[in-house]
Amino acid sequence: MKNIITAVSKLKTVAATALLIAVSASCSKDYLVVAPKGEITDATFYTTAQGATQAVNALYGQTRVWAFHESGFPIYDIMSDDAYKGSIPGDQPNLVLYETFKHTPNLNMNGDWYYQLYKIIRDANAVLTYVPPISMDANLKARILGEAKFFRALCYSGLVRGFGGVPLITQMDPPVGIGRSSADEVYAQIFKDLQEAHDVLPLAYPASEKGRITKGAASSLMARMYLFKGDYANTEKYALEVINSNVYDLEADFSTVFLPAGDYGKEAVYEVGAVKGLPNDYNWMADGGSQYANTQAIRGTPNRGWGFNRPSLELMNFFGDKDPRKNKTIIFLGEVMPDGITTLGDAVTLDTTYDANRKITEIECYNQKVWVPGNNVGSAFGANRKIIRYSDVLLMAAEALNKNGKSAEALPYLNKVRQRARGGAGGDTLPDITETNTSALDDIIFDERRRELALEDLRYWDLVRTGRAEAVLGPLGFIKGKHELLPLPSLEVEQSGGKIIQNPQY
Amino acid sequence: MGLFTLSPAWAQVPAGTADPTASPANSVSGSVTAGDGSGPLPGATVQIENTTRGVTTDFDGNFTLELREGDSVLLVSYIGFVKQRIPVGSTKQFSIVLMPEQKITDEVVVIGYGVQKKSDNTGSVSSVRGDDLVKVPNNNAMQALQGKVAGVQVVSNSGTPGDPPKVRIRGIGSTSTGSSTSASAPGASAGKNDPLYVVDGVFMNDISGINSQDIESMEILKDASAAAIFGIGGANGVILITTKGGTAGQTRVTFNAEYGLQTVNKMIGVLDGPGYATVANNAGWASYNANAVPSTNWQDSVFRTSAPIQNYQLGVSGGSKTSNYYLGVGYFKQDGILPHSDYQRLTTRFNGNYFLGPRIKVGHNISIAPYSRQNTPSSIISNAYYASPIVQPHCDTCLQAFPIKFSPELNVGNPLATLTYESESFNKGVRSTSNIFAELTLPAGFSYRVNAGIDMTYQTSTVYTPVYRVNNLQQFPNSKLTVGRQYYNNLLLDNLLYYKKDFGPHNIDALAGYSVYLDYSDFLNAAANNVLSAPDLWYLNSTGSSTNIAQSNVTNGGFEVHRVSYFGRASYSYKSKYSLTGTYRIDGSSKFGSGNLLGYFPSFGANWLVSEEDFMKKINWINLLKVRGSWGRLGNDKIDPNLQYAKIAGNQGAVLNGTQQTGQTVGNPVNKNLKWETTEQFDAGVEIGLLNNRLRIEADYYNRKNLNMLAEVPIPGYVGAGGSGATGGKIFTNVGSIRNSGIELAASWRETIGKFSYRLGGNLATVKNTIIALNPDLTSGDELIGESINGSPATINKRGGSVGEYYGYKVIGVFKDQADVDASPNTGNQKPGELKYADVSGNGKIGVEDRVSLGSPIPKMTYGFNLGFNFANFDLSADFNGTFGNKIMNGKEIKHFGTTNFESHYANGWSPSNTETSVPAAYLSGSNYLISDFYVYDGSYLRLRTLTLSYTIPEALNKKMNISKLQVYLRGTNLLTWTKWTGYSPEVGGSDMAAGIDYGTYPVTTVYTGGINFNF
Repeated sequence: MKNIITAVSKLKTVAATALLIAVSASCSKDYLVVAPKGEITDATFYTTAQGATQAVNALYGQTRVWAFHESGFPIYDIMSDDAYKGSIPGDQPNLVLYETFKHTPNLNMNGDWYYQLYKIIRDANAVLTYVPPISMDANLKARILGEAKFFRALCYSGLVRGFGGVPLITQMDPPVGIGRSSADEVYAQIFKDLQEAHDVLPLAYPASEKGRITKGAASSLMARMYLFKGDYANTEKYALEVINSNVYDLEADFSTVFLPAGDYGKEAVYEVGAVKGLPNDYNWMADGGSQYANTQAIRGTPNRGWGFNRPSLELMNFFGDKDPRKNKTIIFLGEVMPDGITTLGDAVTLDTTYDANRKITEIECYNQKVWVPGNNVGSAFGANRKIIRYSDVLLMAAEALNKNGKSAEALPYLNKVRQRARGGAGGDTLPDITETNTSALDDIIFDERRRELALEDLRYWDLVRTGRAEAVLGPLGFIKGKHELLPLPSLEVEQSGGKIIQNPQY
Repeated sequence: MGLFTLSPAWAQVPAGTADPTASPANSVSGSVTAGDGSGPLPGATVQIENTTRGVTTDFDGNFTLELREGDSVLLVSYIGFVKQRIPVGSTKQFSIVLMPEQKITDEVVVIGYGVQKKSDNTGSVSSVRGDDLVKVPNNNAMQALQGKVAGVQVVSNSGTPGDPPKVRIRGIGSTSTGSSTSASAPGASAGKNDPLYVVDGVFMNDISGINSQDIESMEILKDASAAAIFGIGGANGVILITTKGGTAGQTRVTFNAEYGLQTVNKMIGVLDGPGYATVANNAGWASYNANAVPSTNWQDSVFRTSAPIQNYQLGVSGGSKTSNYYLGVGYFKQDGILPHSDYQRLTTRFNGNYFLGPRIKVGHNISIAPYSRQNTPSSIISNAYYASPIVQPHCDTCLQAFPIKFSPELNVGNPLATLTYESESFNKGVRSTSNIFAELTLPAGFSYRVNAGIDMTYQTSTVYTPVYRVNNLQQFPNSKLTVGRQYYNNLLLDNLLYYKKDFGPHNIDALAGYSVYLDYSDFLNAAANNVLSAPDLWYLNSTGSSTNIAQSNVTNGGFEVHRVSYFGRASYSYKSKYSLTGTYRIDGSSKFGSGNLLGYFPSFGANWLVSEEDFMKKINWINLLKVRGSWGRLGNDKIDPNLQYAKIAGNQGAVLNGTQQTGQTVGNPVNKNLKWETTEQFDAGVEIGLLNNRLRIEADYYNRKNLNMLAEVPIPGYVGAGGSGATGGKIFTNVGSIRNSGIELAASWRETIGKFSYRLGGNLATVKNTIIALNPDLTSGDELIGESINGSPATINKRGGSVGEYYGYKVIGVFKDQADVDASPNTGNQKPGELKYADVSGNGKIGVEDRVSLGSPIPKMTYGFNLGFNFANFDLSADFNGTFGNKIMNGKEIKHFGTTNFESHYANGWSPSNTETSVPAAYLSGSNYLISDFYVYDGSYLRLRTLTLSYTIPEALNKKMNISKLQVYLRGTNLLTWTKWTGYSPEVGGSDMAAGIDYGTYPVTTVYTGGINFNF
């Protein structure tokens, strides 16, 4: 009994102590403030040069995200007369709706692209909001802010071409209820950002930093957007600035620019870098891959990808038989690629499709501009997509000069592209152009752009900006006044409570 | 079983057999046992009527009593049991059975941090006895509650072995899906609308580690007065579970064994090979020879014909004056109806109470439950539905397929191949829910209790995928091993001071408490390639080279949640007729913004036991009449931890000159000012007992408002939260307010006529769910989009509407031909054979303005009823449950993609030669796949939940066999379901934003069980 009494009195002490400890522990509100475990927060991240660099690097990382590339399939080539949906009929049947101009606001392709562009704009706004207060090297800071402005402008240039005037967001965490800005307001922001980027970015980087945004990239994007707006004076100005910088040149062979040998090369003005030779570990994004090429790579044998965005019969015919770029742009079945592997294609779709009159309607083939050597699916994630090439800058200069009444000055730039394209072949293969009639030369340059830049997401815009879209794409379903723009994602309109109005006729 | 567990007062007094040698001629002897099956009653009083002479029964419940001349009647009594009056006559030996008293004023209910006389309880509390929780073969006691308690809805989320069901008390309070902390151990996360479980004082998110056989009682606290004492987690109701203990002087042994077989008794009607080929040809996207195509029934090929489920349990309890104990050991195993899936669990429990003196008691409830499971990919169910029927499972000529020659299926992959190659996924773990406590009786009516508890899980996971190839789309070129370790614990410390004192007719019962909680979670996952296929080598050490373990394949994270609570409760009652209860709780939670850490939750309740009034006592057919009412507020913090922090997201490296350089930046937008969601609830109820309490009725009206509800809602795409497909980004925030109101009604009746008795019970509950406000900072309109399918809203939350109601077009037919299209309002892109939608706006065309509400997935009413018949030793009982007035959306059919199979009704689909039909053509894309009522079904159902036939051997045999009870039974579970829904089961589940949308729900199985119960 005595033991029990002792135990009881001890327990009383223990209980009283427990009560005391508990009460005193709680007196501090500190107990209720718990930091996330294993995760850095915004409060500590944006305080060093390292944080600023990693934050701007994230923008480059986001351009490896598949949806950045015009939804990834990519829809604008498929909507143009240069390509079909590709792949097999059961894979992404909704893509057919884009090919036939029956796409609707609820489809995920335009949504994918729209959301990813705004995701990058948010990440650019994060740099532009959080980096300025950081105490760090002033030159590095200025460059980082310049890179972020380029990416913000790049994304708005996709949005304004794709969707027209969109909500213009230049702050972090904007409120709901923002409506659409006008296209002019969006353009103004694009040119402001690009000019500011242009003014601080270097012409080139040391070897280990190759792939970062340069002054030339900012000028070239300005030229592209001024051209799209029809401002030929500024197009000429910025295209010539790039040319006269003497930083860039054409690769000797047309194929080189799309191969690893052309990566970070003299023709690549702006490219999205990707790590080569990835294993088949399904970790491709984290490992530095870019899925843009995988989506379009050969389906079947050898199995490198999904086989979307198949070059069209019209494109093959347009090249004609003489242009060497035809075989350098299109992989035909039976073609032996530089790695020695013969292309057999998928076993599902017909190698050649005929209509009821035994007329050929489609030939199975693939986009050679995304081809990279390698022996597995992972390797197809290693293609550097060249978003702005020097030959595009040359052709922009030529087009603008001609429009500005300087046709003779335009010819050398056009012929430089043709000369490289013919690859040493003589005779009637892509002879030099001597035409100086503005209208005729404009048509020639326009056709040259199609052959030079096929399957590089430019054909559709060229058709739209020059007013040729209805004539060329009308038979495929294009409706003037509607299909110049994509529909905004249906949820973006519906969530806005009437603030965001859908594009006409959708 | 309904709300009440009482049985009528009756006593069985068999004619004794005189044994002249047993006692002196002038004495009688006998035994007194409890009629509730709890055994002999030691200490019962046996008195001779009209005298002061008597004895109490001994330790075994036996007595011997000397009789005098004129002694003719024995009075037998025991506290809590109905007193018996027994004429002596010539009988010398008595076997007396006392039945428990059912006087309402003496019934006790378990409430938060204590017990209370039922008469004094002002809240809406439903009690369920442990015996009723083991009547459905399950590993989770909540399964047995389905249809049993008014206002409690239990939906099987899936038939996946080991998965807990979804439980909703009084409707849905929030539009959010809640916490789903990935990579955490079981128990670490809770659905936002899940109730709080409190097991012997330990707070839990789910009770999958608790053996139903170890549960003594379960109380469901539905209203604010009852649940407010749990402020922090009480918003969705509280389920209080008390596990078994021992009784002094009685050693009891129970053994239960059960074995059952599960089957899928309903398949989804999809087309066979020729049917599929025909509709494809009719829709114009193929030209098959319908007479020559193969025909595969994928559902038959993936499901097992039957899968066993088994449960064994042994319990031992007993005690002395100074201590008592309960020991329980259980083994449960469920094989999945898909091959390569199972769940098994061993439960051990040791509960004890030790009286260290007149003033101090210590005790423990210790449960340790190791478990293991094998998982098949849940996609198998939907893949078997989608897979093309003209693909055979195997083919001899598949040159590239290895190691098994499965045929390629181009849409979802060959489901059998997935099942074969992707099912090497195992979890092993242990879960413990335990507490220790001490209680100290202090002077002047005070007492003190300290309680420390833990709910912890440690789990390992091993997933191995071998090298295989079916075709390009379905292959795995390098074997991969992923291993993981997850740990979770929830620690709590309660300090409770009680005061209880009676001042004449005035009774005071008060409590003050202080609790601290700590949730901790930690996980580590790593993966390696090129690991050999022998299971013994499924360890990272076997990879041979560290280069096989990529740094990007290693993840390690965790979280901590801290909470602090202060609370108090005071109850006052007068003569047990009038009672008042007030509670107040202050909770702090680390899940909120630094300015909003604390929440304040008051409640009040009152009741009046009308039947105790003198004027009522004359009405002898009314045994009980109680009216009560309550109001209060409760809190909810069941959201992921750290949502208020803007975290840096990695994995966004820049590739410069061919090499990746670290890139990371702030992730998705967050609300740094998250605040408590508060539930405000009013309840008014009445409890009635009639005709000697044989008829019991309980009715409640409730009105529950969720203010500042926390939910994850879509935000505009321009905010830049990313998002995939057509869905856009989301943010977690305080969204608006919701009201749930309705009535609950429960009634039971039982009657005994000789050897025959029967019982009837039923309950129903209605819910009217209304969104009363949406936060204007979140939506520029009056609606918030919920779930989206195919890029269009499928559910919508409109002010004035209900949570997650379906939204889309009304179908008025199918376009017969081009002339029909041209003459009718259409989308501008439609063709013959597509669905014709109603032009609700009347503008002559079909557009988003024509969409309307297509009904709600929330049942207008849920109900259950049960019947029981007992004759001699046989007992037959049937439990039914169902819902009424809810809709189900056929999500899997809307999400048609590629060339997947079509449902059976497409056999009657449109074709140029079959234009008079309500089913469209089997097109692969286009307007048929907009959200419309073509995909919405009446989800009402009635299910025969259980049918049980049991036989208890006669008591006369018990003694010979030296046991106290032996029962055998046969039971069928989910035998019959009446419904218009075409899927596997009308219990669809899903998050509340996507409730009732069937994307390929795991079938609910029919189970045939046999079992045996022994009591020694």
